[in-house]
Amino acid sequence: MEAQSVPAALELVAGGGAGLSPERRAALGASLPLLQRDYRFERVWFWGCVQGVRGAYYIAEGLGPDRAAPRSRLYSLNCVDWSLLTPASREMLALAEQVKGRFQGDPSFEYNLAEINPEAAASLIQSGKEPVMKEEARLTATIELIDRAVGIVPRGAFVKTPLGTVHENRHFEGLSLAEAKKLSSYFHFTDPVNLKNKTLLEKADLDPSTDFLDSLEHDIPRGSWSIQLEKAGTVVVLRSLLWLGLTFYHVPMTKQFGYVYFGTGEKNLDLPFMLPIISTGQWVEDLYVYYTGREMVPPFSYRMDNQFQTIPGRNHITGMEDYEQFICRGKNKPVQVIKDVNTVLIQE
Amino acid sequence: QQYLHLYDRYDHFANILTKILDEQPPNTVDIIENISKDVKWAQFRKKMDTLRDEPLIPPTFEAAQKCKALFVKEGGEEEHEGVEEEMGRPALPNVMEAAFYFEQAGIGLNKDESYYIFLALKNLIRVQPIQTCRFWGKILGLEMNYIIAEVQLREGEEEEETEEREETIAEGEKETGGAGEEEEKKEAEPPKSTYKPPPPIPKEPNGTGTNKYVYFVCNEPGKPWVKLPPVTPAQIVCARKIKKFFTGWLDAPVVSFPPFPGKEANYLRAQIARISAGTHVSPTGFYQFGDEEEEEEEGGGDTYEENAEFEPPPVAEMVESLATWAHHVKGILKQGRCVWINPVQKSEENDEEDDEEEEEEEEEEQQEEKGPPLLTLISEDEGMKDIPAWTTQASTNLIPEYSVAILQSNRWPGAYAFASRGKFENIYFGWGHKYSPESYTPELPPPAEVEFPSAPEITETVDPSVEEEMAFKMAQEEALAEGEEEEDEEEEDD
Repeated sequence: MEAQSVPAALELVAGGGAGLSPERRAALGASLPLLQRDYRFERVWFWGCVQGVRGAYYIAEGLGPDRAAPRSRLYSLNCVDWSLLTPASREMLALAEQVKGRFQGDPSFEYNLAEINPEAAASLIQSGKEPVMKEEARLTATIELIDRAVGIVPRGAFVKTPLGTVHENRHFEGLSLAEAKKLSSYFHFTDPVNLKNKTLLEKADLDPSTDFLDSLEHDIPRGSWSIQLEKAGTVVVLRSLLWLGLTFYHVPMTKQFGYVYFGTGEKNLDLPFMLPIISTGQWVEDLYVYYTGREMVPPFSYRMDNQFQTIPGRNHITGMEDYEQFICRGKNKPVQVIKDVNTVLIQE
Repeated sequence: QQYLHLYDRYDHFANILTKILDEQPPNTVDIIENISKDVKWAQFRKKMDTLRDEPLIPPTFEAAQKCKALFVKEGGEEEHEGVEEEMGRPALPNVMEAAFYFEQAGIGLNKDESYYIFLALKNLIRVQPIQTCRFWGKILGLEMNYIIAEVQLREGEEEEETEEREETIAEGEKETGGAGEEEEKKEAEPPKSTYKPPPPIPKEPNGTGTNKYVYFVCNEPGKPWVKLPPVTPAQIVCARKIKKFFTGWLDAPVVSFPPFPGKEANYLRAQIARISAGTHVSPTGFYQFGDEEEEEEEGGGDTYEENAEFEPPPVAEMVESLATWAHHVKGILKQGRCVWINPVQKSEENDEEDDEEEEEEEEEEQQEEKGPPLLTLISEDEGMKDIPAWTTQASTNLIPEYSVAILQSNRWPGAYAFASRGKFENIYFGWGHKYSPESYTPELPPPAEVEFPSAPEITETVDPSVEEEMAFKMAQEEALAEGEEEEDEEEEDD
């Protein structure tokens, strides 16, 4: 989240129960501008907090003129004194993925690599270094992994200039409420991976100045994002289920957005087991369709708790461009997630 | 208001025909499927008024309406009298005060939400017959979250509801069972298995053990509170083996292996019970036993009361030493209950009683005791690998006079407790799962049923060859001939 908007933004992401104490908030308000001055950053983002067993690391990121360039990362134990972290190399990233368990909270703690990855340990010994991984290195690598995997921005918030640099889009007025509930309106703020795999038809619809990043739609596993409207429906909050603790907020129709991480710094590898099991393709009569919060359209009828009754009998719903994520529930049947648009939802 | 559009085949065909008659396409038969699709498509288009845009009603206004309803004060005078008459602690907890202390540690919701929860709890107390009430915490879900209140109902109020519920559940099961049986009887009945499942462990009565408190949940402050059913040991045992996200709908099924006996409401209740048992702590000495009951009695030590002479230790000491904190909720045994029970029907034989006592003593050693300063967090709660079970910190190092001691659980990430000069509180903000250093592995299916044990009568033997058969036949004929001779001899004797 932007350094200037930290107080307001913390209020918006507090739905998960994590935040900063008044002391830390005050310290951030004083130290982040100084960071900007000392390191000559154009923008400073408060990235979040990684909880260790004995202490917590507070992380800040500094961005230069090209917002898509690799960011400088700094950490602090008390939000007052900040230390720069050396960027992580590819080997460090691979090693950090294998280190399991909580962070200790002590930056000089050393993880014994011999247990984790004997080959890497052996190669390190050969090159004359000790087969250990420092917690600082693990921290940098973890931050990089989190940013790559789940660091997101709304569509249209950043533009790519013809020269290739990326900066904020001053014409971005915020997503509309309808768009804000779609996963496809959010992009990973990192080098795109899937963009070139799109078909030509899809690419024709894209706008190269704003659609130069991967959207969240095709994230694996499907369902690894939880979208909710919080605070009496004024804020859209996305929570990542892969890295528990990453929270993204956006107030629709305004320029406010940002993401922050409050967690233990561990990837949730149990995610496939934890997602609710969905069965599609079942013949259901008398469906009740739970609409996830969008505007309602006839011929659905609706009640206050957004339950619909659709056409009983054959239930082909086609041509639903604007409606994603319908969840069908039969009277005593399990929940079914209806995929996107233009697919026959309930098959025989 | 609700109005149902029933769109069935007749209407659909009628619409197709209407469209064909209106448009009169030349090659109707060729494009009839497309016409059908278009008619269906048109059903989902907004019947828009071409002259005026319909105003969009975003759901935010509905939610704001609900929140505004919280602020309405009803029945002013009567409430005032009631509050003044009741002596002792008022039922409504001071949510904002606890929120303030937790905020010193960076834990908690934003102030607006805390206040909405405060008002929602007030509504709950007004509607339900509640003796004590506490904001337990918030559990996040995929589509909606749960706000949970821990409540003790006034005695005598809760039993009727639970009985009704059990009856309805039993009736429901009988109906489905009956329907199944009828269908089966029409066909030849398959052989019934001789498998007898182990007898179900009875749940603890309301007011004791895991069911000591009643929990109410709502998705958002402003929505009606729903009472969670009491938890059964089977649900707790199963909840320990599965790890699922909550979706936010209480009646969503929990599809898992081992199959969870219940819906998301039961799973939620089981997790709440586990979290309460594992992480609810208080400063040592705050609670003490009422009478000096011995702990060997069944169910003993369940009641505690506040120690009137409790002197809170200084915050620095509470941060440094875990011995200043103690659990005040009974731990859950492996059985799924707080008080061990022998599942086999009790017959009043001395042998079984002796067995029960022996096993009870063994089980009681596992029970956590609350109150006595000897058993504290350090010894009771083992860490996982190198990670201790609890992390303590002071809320601020810069101003130690006013700092608050904060306790974070590492076993249940999201469980926090604070203590400051005699005030303390527990709370939970999280996804509702236990931390484990190893990845979750689902339980393996049970081993396959054993077939008949090997016995001579069913083991296969090699078929005899032709020579052996002939030899056997010869031997049989000889034996028959001898037998006939013997019988003739016997008959002759008679």
